[in-house]
Amino acid sequence: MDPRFDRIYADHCAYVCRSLRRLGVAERDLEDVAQEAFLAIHKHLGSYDPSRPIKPWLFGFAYHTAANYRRGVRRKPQNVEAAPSERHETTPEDELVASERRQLLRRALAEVDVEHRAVLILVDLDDVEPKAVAEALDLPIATVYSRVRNGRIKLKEAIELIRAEVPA
Amino acid sequence: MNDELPTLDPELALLYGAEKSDPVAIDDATQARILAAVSAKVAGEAALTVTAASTLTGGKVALIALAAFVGGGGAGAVMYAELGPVRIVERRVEVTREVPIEEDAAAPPPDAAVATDAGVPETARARRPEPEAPRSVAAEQRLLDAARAAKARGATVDALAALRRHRERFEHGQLAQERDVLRIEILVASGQHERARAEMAAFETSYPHSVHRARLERLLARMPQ
Repeated sequence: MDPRFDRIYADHCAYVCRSLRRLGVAERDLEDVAQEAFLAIHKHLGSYDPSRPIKPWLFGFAYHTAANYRRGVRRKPQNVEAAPSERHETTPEDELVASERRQLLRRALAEVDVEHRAVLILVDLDDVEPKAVAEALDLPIATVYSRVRNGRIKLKEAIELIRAEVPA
Repeated sequence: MNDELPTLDPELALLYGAEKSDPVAIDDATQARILAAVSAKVAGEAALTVTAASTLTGGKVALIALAAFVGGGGAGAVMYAELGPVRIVERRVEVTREVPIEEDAAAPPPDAAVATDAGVPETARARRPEPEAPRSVAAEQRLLDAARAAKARGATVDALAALRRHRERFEHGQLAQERDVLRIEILVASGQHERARAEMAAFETSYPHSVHRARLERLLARMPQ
C-alpha cells in the first residue's frame, strides 16, 4: 500500500468512521461502508494537498460514500444505534447524562437534511474553519455560514420534536 | 450576508460537548479488517488493470472511455481519461460491471460538491431504482449474482456491498438465506474470520435446519483458530 495512505489510515480511521456514523450509516454497516470510503480515499490520494487541513478532505469521501449508502438504504435513519464508547465519564451518573445527550443529538442530527448536517458536523463538531469547509465541499463561504445558522435552527427544532415524543 | 457565526445556543453546546467527548470506538481488530479488505481490493484492481492494459491499444482505450461516458459514467470517464490510459482501463472495469447491478459507482471526488442533490451526479440520479420497485425474486437474484461475480474476481468490498443492498431491500426476501450463506463464504475467503464466526452463529440461530449448515461448518473449521 502507498505509505501516504497507510499514514492517513492510521491517523484518521476513527475520524472517517465517526463521520460516517454521523452521516447516518448504521452501526452494523459501518465496517463495510468504511471499506468503501477508504477505497475511494486510496484512489484519490493524488488529489490531497498536504498544505490544507486533512479532515475536510476526508469528510468529502465520507459524505459521498454515506450518500451512496443512504440511496441503498432508502429509509430515514431514525433508529440511531448506540455506538460503542471508548471513554468513560467520572461517575456512572455523569456517563448516563452524557450518553443521553449524545443519543439525543444523534437522533436530532439524523432528522436534519444531509446538506445542513454535513456542515454542522464539520463546523460544530469537528471544529473545522468555515473557509476550509467551503473549499472542501466546494461551496461559497456565505453558504457555509447560512447552513450553519439554519442547520442549528433545524437541529433545535428536531430536538424539540424528539422531546415532545418522549415524555420526561 | 453576515459571515459571522452566531454564539452557540447553550443547549447545543452541551450536546455537542457530550458528542465530542465520546469518539466512536473503532477497535484495532475492526481497523485491521477494514485495512485488509481495502488492501485486497486495491491489489485485485491493480492486477486487473495491468492485465487489461497489456492487451489494449490506444484506440481501444479511447473507445472504452467513450463507452464509459455513454454508459452513464460521463464525469468519471472524462476525469479518468485525463489521468491516462491506465486509469481509463480501471474505470472501464468498474463501469461495465457495476452499472447493471445498482446505482453505486465509485465515490466521486470530494470536490464534486454538496451543492447538488446530495452530491449525486445527474447520471447517477437517473439510474436510481424507484423506491417502490417490485420486490421480485429476479431483483434479489441479480444482487446475489452481482455479489458472486464480485467475489469471483476478488472484489470483496463490492461483493459485500451487493449483499448489503440485498439485505436493505429484501431483508426477509426469498433468497435471504442464500445471501447470508454467501456473505459468510465471502468473509471466510477474505480472511475476516472473526466476523465469519459471528455471522455463522447468527446463521445457525436463524436457520437451525439449513441444508447449507454442514458445508459452512466445514468451511469455518478450516479457518485458522
